[in-house]
Amino acid sequence: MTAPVLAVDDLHVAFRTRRGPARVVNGLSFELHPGRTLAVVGESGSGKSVSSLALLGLLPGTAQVRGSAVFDGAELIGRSEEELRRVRGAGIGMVFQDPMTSLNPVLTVERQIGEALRAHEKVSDDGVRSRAAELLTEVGIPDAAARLRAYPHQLSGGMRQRVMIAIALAGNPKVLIADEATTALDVTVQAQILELIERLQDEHGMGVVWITHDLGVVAGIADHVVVMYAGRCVEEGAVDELFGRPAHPYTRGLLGALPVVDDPRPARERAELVTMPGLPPDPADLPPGCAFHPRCPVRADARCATEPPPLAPVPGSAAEHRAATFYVARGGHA
Amino acid sequence: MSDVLVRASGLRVHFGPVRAVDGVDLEVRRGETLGLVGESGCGKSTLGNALLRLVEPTDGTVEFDGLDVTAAGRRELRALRRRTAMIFQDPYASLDPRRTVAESIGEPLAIHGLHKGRAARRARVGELMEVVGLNPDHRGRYPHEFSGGQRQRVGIARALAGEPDFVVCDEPIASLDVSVQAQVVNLLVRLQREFGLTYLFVSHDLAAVRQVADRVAVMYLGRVVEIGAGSSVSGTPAHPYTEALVSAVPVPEPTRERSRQRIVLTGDVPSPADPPSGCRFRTRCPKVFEPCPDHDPVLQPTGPEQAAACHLHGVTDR
Repeated sequence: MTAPVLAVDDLHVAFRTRRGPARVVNGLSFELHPGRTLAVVGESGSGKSVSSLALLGLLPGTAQVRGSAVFDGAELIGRSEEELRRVRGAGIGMVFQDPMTSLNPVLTVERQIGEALRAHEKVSDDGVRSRAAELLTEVGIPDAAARLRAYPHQLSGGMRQRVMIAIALAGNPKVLIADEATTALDVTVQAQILELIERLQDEHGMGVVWITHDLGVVAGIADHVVVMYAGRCVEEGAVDELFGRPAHPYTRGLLGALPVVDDPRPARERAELVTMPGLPPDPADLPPGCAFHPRCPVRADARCATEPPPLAPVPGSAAEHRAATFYVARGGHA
Repeated sequence: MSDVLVRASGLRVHFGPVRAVDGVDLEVRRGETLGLVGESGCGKSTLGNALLRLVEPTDGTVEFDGLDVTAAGRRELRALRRRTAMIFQDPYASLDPRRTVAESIGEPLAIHGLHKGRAARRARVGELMEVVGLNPDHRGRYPHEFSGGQRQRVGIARALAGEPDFVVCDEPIASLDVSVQAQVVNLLVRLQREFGLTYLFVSHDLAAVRQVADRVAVMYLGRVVEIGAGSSVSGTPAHPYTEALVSAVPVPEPTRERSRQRIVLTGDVPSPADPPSGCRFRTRCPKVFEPCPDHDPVLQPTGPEQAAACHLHGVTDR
């Protein structure tokens, strides 16, 4: 396999709060290879967004970041703002959930794409206009020349997200980080955006980090999946492996909680959805041992409450399928 | 007793030039869950509101258990309000932050003069909290002291306070995390069976709707374009829009999801202030043909318990 374009190793992020440090990311590691899609899955507060913001130096001053993130051979953590600015956009493009708040409402589409183009190279006004129009066409916006003069509020949600993607592509990034990029969109528009990203990825060979809570989307686009809980990776593996043989009780819980649209049974003949009692822990007050143990339906081992289980290979699975649970390590995997 | 509890006929709700609901005929049967799905701006929430007369219809009628809601006077409306309730998407926004949850849950009791007296009301509030899975000892707490899922339970307890027959659930799980969504969905289903409730379950999430709804109605641009048994609407959709919608909902099974044929619609939803002539879906429909621009299709049967407004099943006009 080729060298990873992005390798994150033992990343920690804590925020200073009045109640002591909130430990939001607690030793996250993953590798992204060129042309591949890595999905980072988790619920609110699992640390999935904060980790990607940490890589790009986009967190506020109250955040303490440790660990390593190597992009294209160079370390990102601890670099100066100036150096990081060069990486953002040119090396790593980013698309967020809500294009209405990430776009500037008082600037035209052309100005905003132009800003991204000028940040990476010297271009003339005419050059900006034609390159911006090219980018809009590339992300599937018809009548690009007219759309360049539009303001964000004049575009639909799907169009705005396409503009965000055009901006992210302006610097020809090697990695695209999409953070809940389709969450605010209707499903038929989501289908358009998923198709667009897959096409762009084929054409440009970008590595994509897809951060989402939506396991359905993950099933369709991911090569490799990282499941996060309380700031840690609790399970990772190739997408078929992870969905086909989920090993961690949390992953199983998440998958069981999902209704399936094409289940032919009528509602009244269906079983109840699987639920997990309780809530994810407060990052300023993490439980000792495994952070999931207070909600875990298995809790098979006395160590669960005292010792955090290491992320270890799942017995009988492919090497890259790993889970952080004593349950599997004991061979109790059913 | 008719098996139809709520009936909308020729219902229109216009906001200025915007035709949010534009000619809907719909029946909700006693004891069923009718799912109402559609994408942003299709008019599904407005329709839910109009059935409870929380917005005034521009035209058409709504009947509740034989009573013409649209013509009801103050006293009749008050009686109607007790028999109907609404569960909202965002429990942050629908609960008063300065009131304890017991006050919020008890308010409908006071308004409708139910369970009179402090002790009776206190007992009833405690009972309601238990029914929805909240600890009655937390009655004195404020909304911010609860998680999103618990706050939604407070909203549900409040909705049940007046012992309603008909509950409109408007995106009740949209702002919750997956594991919490499942808890709320299971609770709503359990409550329906326990109290014989009739639900209109309004959601953009077709998979969630399929989990709870006996029948499903699909809306597009102010109209119901298809209605039928849940398994028929998602299994053998009769309207091209439903087909696209079903195909776009991701399935959490990788091999199946990768091999599914997604129907990717082109373009955006037209403005509800200026809908296309003829069939409103024709500008984006992959199966558009000659009659579509000139004839405005009506819902017609396409199978047992299924109807669609599409010329593919025979050309019709409104």
